[in-house]
Amino acid sequence: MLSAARWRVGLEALLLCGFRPFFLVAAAWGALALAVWLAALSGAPLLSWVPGGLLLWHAHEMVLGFGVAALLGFLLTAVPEFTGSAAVPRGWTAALSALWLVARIGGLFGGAPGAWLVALAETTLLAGALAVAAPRLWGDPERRHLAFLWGLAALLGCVLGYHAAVLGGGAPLPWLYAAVGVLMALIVVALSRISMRVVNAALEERGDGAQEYLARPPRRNLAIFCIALHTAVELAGATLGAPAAPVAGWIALAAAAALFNLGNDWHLGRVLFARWVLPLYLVYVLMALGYLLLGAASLGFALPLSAGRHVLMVGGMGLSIYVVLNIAGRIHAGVQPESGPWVPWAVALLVTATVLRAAAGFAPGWAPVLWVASGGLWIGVFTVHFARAWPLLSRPRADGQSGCAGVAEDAPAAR
Amino acid sequence: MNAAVRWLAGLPAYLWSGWGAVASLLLCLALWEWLAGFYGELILPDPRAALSTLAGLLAGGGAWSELGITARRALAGFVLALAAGSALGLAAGLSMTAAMMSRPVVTVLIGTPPIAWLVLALLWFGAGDGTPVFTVFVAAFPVIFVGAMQGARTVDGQLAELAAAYRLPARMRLTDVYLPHVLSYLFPAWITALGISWKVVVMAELLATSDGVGAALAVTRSHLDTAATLAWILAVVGTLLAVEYLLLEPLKRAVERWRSTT
Amino acid sequence: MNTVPAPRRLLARGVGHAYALRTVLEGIDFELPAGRVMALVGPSGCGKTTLLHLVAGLLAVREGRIESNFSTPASVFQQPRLLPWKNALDNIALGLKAAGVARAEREARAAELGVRVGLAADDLQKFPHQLSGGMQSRVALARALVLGPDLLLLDEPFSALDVGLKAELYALLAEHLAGREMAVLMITHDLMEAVRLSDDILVMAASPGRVVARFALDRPAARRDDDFVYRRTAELLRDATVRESFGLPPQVCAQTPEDAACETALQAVHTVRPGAAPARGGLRC
Repeated sequence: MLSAARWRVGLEALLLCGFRPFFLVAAAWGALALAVWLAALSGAPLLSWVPGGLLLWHAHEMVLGFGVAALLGFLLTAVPEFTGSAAVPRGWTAALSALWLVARIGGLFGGAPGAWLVALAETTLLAGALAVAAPRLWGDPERRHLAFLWGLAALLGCVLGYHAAVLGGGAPLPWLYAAVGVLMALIVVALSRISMRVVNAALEERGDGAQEYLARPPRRNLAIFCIALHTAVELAGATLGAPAAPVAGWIALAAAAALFNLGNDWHLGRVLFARWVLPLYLVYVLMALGYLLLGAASLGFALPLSAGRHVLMVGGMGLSIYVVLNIAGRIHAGVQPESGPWVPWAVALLVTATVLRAAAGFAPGWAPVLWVASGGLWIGVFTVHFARAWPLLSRPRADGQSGCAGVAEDAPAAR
Repeated sequence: MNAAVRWLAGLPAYLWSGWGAVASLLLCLALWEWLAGFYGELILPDPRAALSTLAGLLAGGGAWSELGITARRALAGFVLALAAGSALGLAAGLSMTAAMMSRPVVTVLIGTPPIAWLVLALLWFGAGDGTPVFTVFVAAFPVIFVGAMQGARTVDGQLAELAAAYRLPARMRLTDVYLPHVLSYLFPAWITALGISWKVVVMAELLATSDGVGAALAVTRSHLDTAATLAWILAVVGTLLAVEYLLLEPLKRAVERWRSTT
Repeated sequence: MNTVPAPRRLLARGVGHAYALRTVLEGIDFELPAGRVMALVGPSGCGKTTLLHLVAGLLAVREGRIESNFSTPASVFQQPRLLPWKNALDNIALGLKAAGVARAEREARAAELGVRVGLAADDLQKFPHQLSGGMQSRVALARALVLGPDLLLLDEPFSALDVGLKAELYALLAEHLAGREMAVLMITHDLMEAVRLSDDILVMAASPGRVVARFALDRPAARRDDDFVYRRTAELLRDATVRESFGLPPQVCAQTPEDAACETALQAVHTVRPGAAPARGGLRC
């Protein structure tokens, strides 16, 4: 049948490279899961049966659904490229995508069977990702990218802890907070790679050959250390019962300072305001602000912890994922990143969404309105992105290249 | 003029580069907070308690005058050591004989514990400004002396030849060849000596005077007020950090721009 | 510009020098008139640098005499010897500053010469540690040339540079020399360099340092092509005194058709050679 043939072609195109299915579902689920959450908050009788309650479902879907999908899409594409190893076989991409999908479906089921399904699917998903990435990262002669390996392993640990808590009746939320910390560290690691190309390309484009951008390891390592320490101390405080809040608070402030410190690599003049440079820089700024608010809240400032946590999630994670979706998600499909006005607008909207969500912590009276406003912007940005990315990623490559290959050298600049 | 503009232009980048230091100081506060959780209020109050006590002291105004008194004594001793140490050290560096003679003397000066000088100073000067100023001078002098002597001893003979071959007048040899070199030794010595002065003056005041930060520390100790003790320590350390990173380090960078690799 | 046109020259008579108990120079005689290039060639450690220091006035002459009526001598040392705390421009202008030239003028002149020796405008603002070895050598050369010297003293200034850079800097120097009445006294251990640039070659031997052979090259430097340089260098290297000075084993002219050429070449270069004392056997540095 005609439609069956078209399905085959579409599926073939989707599985051409790891980022294709994962970036698409990340954008789609980022918008959809948040829309469900906002609707439920506004009183719609949705998903009242999900295990652990709606709040847990929302946190879980945004961190381990949306966040992990984008992370896996990035890693499945970047790890073979960084390490010069073989591309990830199509079967693996298909299996991992299916596991991710099963975990989402399981989350919508109620009761123990649903919880078990999510636990199995999610654990297998991350273990599978680790199985794909580990030999490649370890096989790299200089092992320059092992940070991704440790990050994935830590994430698997968080997933195990989370599901153990859900199934065993413990407190699952701290494990999601820890997963946020791991994602923050991974963002720093990934952005250091991405920014080296983006910023230096922008410098070159400006004809500023004398300047050179280097993401210096010492500063990055300090930031990663602070983030990791904060994550560990917070998790230990929540799971072991140690009175850790003020200690974690100081460390969160240290993480904020260490993230601001990363800006030193970036202050190279007006290139900071270049199209793809500023959004990446803003990711660090928002992450720093998020840790600043978290630290202040932990040290007794009258502010809910969730304000800082959401600046990390909406600002740090949301913005970085959006930028990666727009850079890697196009280059590896053979087209240049967009040059139209939509991307700067989307970046501005995401930053606004972050500010609104943080403001909800400062003005509890306005919180419901601010939640909806912030969430609405988020849903809009990712819905539009999905609509624009779908035609590109669900069809065969138009440039005659295969797999994850980047833009051909002689390709014309895209509009 | 030119240098001032350059300094101003470099200031934001310099201040921003301080975030790394801020991060590591905050990690220290986290460690302190963690230890405070073990030991309790009397032995180790947490950093927030110490900081709020300090804020109270500063808001009350008393802390400023004590800090001013301490700073006056430290600076007096430091300036004396700076003048004497630089001049004598340079003189010693110019003469091999003087350098040979002074080396054991300097070793003795460095090796004598400041507390020993303090006891002598108490006998000689009694309880007044003289005791802390003298102790600071004796502690800071040898450090500056050694720096100046090293600077004078290590002037590059090849550059001296260059100065002769290009017929540099005496004044130019001093300003263009010798001084920049000597300064690169003197400056770090001055900074180290300033740190020593600031530490020694507090110790001297603790034992010898009735005012200043040291004396205030003695009072808080006798009241078993650990939070106030820590607050005073924070004030002393904070002042030193501020002077070092806001004043001396930028100055050093401006003077030694030719050295930096970035 | 001078009203008394006394011929400018540098004269050394019976110059010797000793460091403590070690005699490093003995009985050096030469005369260098304006507009001529003289090369002192010899193995390392044969007192060449000491001789140059005596000429430059960096060492006091204790034995013999050195007379010079050149008004502005300038030196280029073996190492660039730049002041690390001054940028390239100020380093070039050092001698001008010493001579009391006003800031604006000396910076303009230094910048002009800096560009002539191949420094870019932003190189001039850099400190020595930011410049490559070749760039530092250019600065050192410019620092000497900017004075408009009538006597230039070169102490193997480019010996640490690679062949290409060295050739480029010598070409710069040759270009600067052309049409100027500048005398040059250069030290080198590279015979080919000497043949390429100089009018007179003094070959020195060590222990104690003394002149063992003199050669004059009659073709003007501007008209010496590579072929000439290689040929004359090869000829010089066949000379027994030169070989001995550098510690090379004596060459035997074999009984072959080239034999005759070997002999005549030696005679050709020996024609200018004065009755220099023969080397005292088997000495090297």
